[in-house]
Amino acid sequence: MHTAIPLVTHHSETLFDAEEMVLSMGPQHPSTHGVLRVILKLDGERVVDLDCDIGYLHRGAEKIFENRLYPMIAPYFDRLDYIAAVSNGLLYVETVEKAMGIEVPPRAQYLRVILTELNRLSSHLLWLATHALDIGGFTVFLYAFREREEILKIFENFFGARLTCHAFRIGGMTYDAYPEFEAQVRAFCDLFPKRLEEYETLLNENRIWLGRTVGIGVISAEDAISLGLTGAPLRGSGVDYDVRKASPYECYADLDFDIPIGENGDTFDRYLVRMEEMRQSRRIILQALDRLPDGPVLGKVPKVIRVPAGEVYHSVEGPKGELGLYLVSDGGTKPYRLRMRPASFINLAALRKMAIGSLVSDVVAVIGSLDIVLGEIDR
Amino acid sequence: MSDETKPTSEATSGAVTPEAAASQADAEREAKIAAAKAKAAAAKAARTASGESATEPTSADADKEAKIAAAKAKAAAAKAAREAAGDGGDAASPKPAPAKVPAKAAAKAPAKKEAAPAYVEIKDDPLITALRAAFQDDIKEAVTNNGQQIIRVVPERARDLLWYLRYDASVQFDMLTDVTAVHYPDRKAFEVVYQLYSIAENRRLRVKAELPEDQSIYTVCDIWAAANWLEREVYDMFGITFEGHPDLRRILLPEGWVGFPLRKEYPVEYRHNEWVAANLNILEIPEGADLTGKFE
Repeated sequence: MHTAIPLVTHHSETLFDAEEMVLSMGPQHPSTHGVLRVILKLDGERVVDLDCDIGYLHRGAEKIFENRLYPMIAPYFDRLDYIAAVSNGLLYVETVEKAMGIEVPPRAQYLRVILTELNRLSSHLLWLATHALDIGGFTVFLYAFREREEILKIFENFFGARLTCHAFRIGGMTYDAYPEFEAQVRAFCDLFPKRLEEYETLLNENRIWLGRTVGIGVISAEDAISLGLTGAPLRGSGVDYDVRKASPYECYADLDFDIPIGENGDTFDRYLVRMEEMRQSRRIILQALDRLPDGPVLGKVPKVIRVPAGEVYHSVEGPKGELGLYLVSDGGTKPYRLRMRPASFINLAALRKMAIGSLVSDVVAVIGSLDIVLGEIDR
Repeated sequence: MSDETKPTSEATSGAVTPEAAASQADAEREAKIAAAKAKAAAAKAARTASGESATEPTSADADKEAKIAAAKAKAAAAKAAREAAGDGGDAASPKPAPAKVPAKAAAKAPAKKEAAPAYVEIKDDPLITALRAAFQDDIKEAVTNNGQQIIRVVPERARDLLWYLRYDASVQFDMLTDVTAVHYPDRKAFEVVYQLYSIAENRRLRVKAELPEDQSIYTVCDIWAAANWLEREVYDMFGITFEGHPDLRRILLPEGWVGFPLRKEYPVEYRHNEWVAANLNILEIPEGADLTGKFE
C-alpha cells in the first residue's frame, strides 16, 4: 500500500469554480504548425477569448533586404514560406522585373508556372496531411506525404533542393529543365487524380471528419473581406478573388482554369476549395507542358541590377493567399524598402474572430484550415 | 490489497458490491451501444429511402446534421460534375502551339528610362476627380508610377480619405491589402502606406501619408479589421503610434524591446545585450562591459 494522495475537500463555491482559465497552447504544440503560441481564455471547453503570440521566428528579413544587393535577396525569400519556396521566389523576381521593365522569355514563363503550380500542390498536400492529422485522420497524412515525396523528387532533380528551391533569376531562370523533367511531371499528373480520389474516399464521407469540419470556424464573406483574408479562407466564404485571374502574371492569362469557391465559409468548405484547387493546378501544369515553347530561359538583364527610382506593388497567388511585395527604390543597387505582404500573417489575424465561442478542439481545426506557416508570419 | 485499494466512493455506496457495479455498468453500456446501433440502422434506412446521408435525429444536432448532409451532397455533386466534364477538360487542349506573347507584356511598358521617376499626374479619372473635389488641398498629389495609382494625403485627413474610399466613393475599396511605412530620416518623416483593393472593380489604389517623426496618425481598425495586426506591426517596427487603436502592442518583437528595427538609424548588426542577458539568460556580461552590442 502506498501513501494515499490526500483528498482535497472543496467548499461548494470553490468546487464549482466558474472562473475562466487561461491556457497557453504552444509554441511547441504540434497542431499549431510551428512556433505559434495561442493564449486561450477558456470557460470550461469554450473559448472566450484568444490572443496569438508570434515572432518566435523573427529574423528581421525586411531589415536584411535593405542591406543586400538585389540578386543577393532572392534566396532569403525561399526561407520565408519554406513550404512554398517557389511561389515566394517568383514573387520577388517578378517584382524586380516589373520595376525594371525586364521581359521574361516565354519558355521561362511557362517553366515558372509549372514549377509554381507543382509547389502549390506540394504545399496543399502538406496542408491536407497535417490538417487531417490534427483532426485525427492519420492515414491521410501518410497518403499525402507519399505524393508530396514525388513532387519533392522532381524539385530535387530540378533545383538540387527539396524545400528551399531556388532557380528563378531576375529576368528568367538560371538553367533549363533537365531532360526527363517533362516525362516525370506528366507521370505524376497521370497518377495524381486517382490519389486525390483516395483522399476524398477517406474524408468526404467520413463521419468524424464531417463532424469536426462542417460548421466549424465559420466566417462570412463580409468579415473575410474586412479582415483581408485571401486564398482559400476567402474563397471558402464565397468570394471569387484569385490574383491569377484578377491580375494575371506570367502566362496565366493564356491558360484555362477555374477558381473554386465555397459557400458557407466553414472549415469543410475551405477543405473543398483546396481539394479542387489541386485539380485545377494539375490542369494548369498539363496545359503549360503542352504549350511549353522552345527558346532561351534568361532574358536580357543588365550586369548590375539597378532599379529605377520609384515604387511598385506586385502580388502573386501563393498557396496560402495573396503574397504581395512593395518595393521602394531610390535608384540604387539595394532596395530602399522592401515590404512583404505576408498572406499567413493576415490570415492568422482572423483566428480570433473565427475561434471565439468554439471549443478548444475546434481551434486546432481552424488553425489547420487557415494553412499558416510561421516562417512567413514572423519573417 | 484488494478491497483497500478500491476508491472510497464505491466501497461506501451501499449494498452494491464492486462486481455487481461493474456488471451493471457493462449492461448499461451494452444497452447504449444497442440503442446507438438501432439509431444508426434507422438512419441508414432513412438515407436509403430518401437519398439523404445518415443523420442522428436529435433535434439539437438537427441543424448541423442538415449542414453535413448538404456538404456531402455538394461534394458528391462536385464529383459528378467533374466526371461529366471528362476530368477537368485537359484533354481538350492538346495543341502544342507555340505560346503567344502574354497580354501582360504589352501592359508592362518599358520604363527603362533611367532619368527622373515616371510619376505622372492623373488627369481624367472620375474617381480621382471626385476625390480632389471632396478633399481639395488635403490631397497633395495623385500620380501614377509603374502604372499604379498613388494618392498622397496630409496625415490629418488620411483616415477621412480612407473612410471615404471605403464607403462613399464611386469605387468602394472593400479590402485593405497592406499597411506599412517607409522611413525618410533626412526629411525626419515616415510615409505610412495603405494598399487598397476593390474586389468588385478589380482595382488597386495606394494611399500615402507623410507623417513627421513625432506625430501620430489615426487608426483605421474600425474601417477594415485587417488593420489591427498590420498597424501593430508598423508600430513594432517603426514606432509609429496609431491613435485609437484598441490593442497597440508589439507583435513580432517581445515586450520590452528597445528601439524600432526598421527605422534607418537602427543598425543591422546589432544585439541588445542588456535585453538578451536579462530575458534569455544566455549571456554573462562582465563588469564594465561595452553594451553597445556590436558584433565583432
